[in-house]
Amino acid sequence: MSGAAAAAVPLLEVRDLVRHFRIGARTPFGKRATVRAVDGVSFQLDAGETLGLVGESGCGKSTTGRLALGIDRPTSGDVRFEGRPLEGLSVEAWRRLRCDMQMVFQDPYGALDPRIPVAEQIREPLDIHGVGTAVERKARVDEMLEAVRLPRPLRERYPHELSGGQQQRVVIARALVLRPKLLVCDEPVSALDVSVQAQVVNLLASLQKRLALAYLFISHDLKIVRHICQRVAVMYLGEVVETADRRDLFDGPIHPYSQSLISAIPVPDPSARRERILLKGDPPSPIDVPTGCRFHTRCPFAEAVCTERKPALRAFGPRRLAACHFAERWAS
Amino acid sequence: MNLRFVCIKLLRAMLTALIVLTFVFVVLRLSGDPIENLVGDEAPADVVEYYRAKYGLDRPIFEQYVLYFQGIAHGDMGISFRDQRDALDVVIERLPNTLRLGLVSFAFSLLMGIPLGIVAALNRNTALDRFTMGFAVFGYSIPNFFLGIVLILAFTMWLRVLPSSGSGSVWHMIMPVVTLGTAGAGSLARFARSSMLEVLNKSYILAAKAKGVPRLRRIGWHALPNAAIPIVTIIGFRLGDLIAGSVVTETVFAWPGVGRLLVTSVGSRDLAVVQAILILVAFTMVIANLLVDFIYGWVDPRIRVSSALEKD
Repeated sequence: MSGAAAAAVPLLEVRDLVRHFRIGARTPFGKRATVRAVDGVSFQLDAGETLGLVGESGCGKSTTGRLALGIDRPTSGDVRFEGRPLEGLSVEAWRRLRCDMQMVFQDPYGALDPRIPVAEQIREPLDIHGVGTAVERKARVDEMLEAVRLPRPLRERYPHELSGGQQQRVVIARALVLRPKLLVCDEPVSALDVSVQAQVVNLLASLQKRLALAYLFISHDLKIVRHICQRVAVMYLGEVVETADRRDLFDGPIHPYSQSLISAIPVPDPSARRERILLKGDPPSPIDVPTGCRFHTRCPFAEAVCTERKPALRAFGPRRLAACHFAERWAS
Repeated sequence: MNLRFVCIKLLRAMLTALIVLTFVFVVLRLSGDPIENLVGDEAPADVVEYYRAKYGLDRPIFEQYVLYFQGIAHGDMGISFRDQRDALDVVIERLPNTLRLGLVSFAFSLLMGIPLGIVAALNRNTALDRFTMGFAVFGYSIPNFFLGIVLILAFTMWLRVLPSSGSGSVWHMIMPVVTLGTAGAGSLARFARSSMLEVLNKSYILAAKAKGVPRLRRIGWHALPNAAIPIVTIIGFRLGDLIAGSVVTETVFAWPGVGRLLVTSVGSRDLAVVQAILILVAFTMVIANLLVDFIYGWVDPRIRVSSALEKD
């Protein structure tokens, strides 16, 4: 792929991604239950862009992230990185692709091997992929530690000797040491203290500018998504219900689920009067998904058609999609 | 590992030994009069008195207690009532047999149990996993004496391929080793599996996959050493069982070791020998526990460093 053609191809393209998990033991009595963790998700991500993936816990965000990275395999659908499908790659090609896409985890302590000093963990990807000489690798680790602003004396420490924020910096450094083009951040700050959250988010933002990274930013915290993402995809029960540019979404969400999420963001002004859309009950189980529109059981605007027919994602403007039968009411 | 860590562990081990030795002392003196057993009910009072004095049983209990510890400190654990030899010598004479059986069964349970557990974890929820774990539960719940008798029935009575008792050759070892090692292998397999599964579910294993770390290295370098930490503990405790664990098996297969000596000595109320064996068992337990602590500190940096931090 070269020149003009490359520009048209998104960095990451996910099409009709489906991932079902079978749960429980196989018994002679009846079939095993199927969890529809991800059920037909599509989106695109351009180089250097940040796409936020938001939704309640259990809606399939993390699974989508893993599928996008190729460390979990979809039941159906495909993921393309720079136009090449991940499925059917040779072991060698798959391993080379690891240099281009990396992941940052929710729980930084769990993401680090407790037995290995942190500098060595950051260096491991370089060893695996045989990057440079020993001296160059060391230099690159130092460079990474500096980029994430981790003080030098901490490099020989073990993970448990670092604070949560420092651990997450190590995880970020380890992810970036191979100079990837895409970083999947799975709730990268939700396990951290609020004051540390801001530091890590700002670090991610500044690294993105410097290294021209694309982020798939998975989060349930809309304040952070608003801060860091250019585009946002809202997920509900394994499906994307709306994708939009950040400003469009936050200023005028179309899908009733997006509306309720955005109305739930606290506003730092006690006198502000606003209408909150409160959802009834918990999200339905992904084992037993509702018919028609999956959101109809909790939607304040649901009508008969919603229980019968599944709404398709329809375009509302060049970069905006929403899946609601009555989307026109809110699209302006 | 620093000095303070070592000292604390050593002190704790010594305290444990003290408590166990006291317990042995009290229990053995509560469990009946050994002299009566030695000389018989009909013996004249002066004969009984003579033996009481000879073995120091006529002294006040506190004095006996002090003498008991003095004896242990000097390696003198009294004279066997039965054959008038030094009790410790009687025990030590049998020790090589027990250790031979114990160590080989120990190796058997490690070599069977840990690989089975790891294989089961790597093939979680497959038929292989279920089969292995079913086998492990069976191995670990079947009583020693029963398995021993079943083996004798099968291999001595029906197939006539293995000797049922004695310790003359390698063939003699097979059934006792299997009997003694099976339970250990079963529990180790279950333990290795759960410990391995726990580690395999950690994000750093997923992170390693995302980095492109090959599967073998993920398992061998990231998963196994972390899973080994709790396994080492269990292995250490098993090591403490080396002598005490073989009592039943030695009796079933007439294996001339310490375990069988214990059974016969209890039968003949040979106080000094029983006491020497119990003390020996107590020491192996305490030493095994101490070893576990040290190995633990060595394989798990979290423990090593946190005790280093306590210092300052």
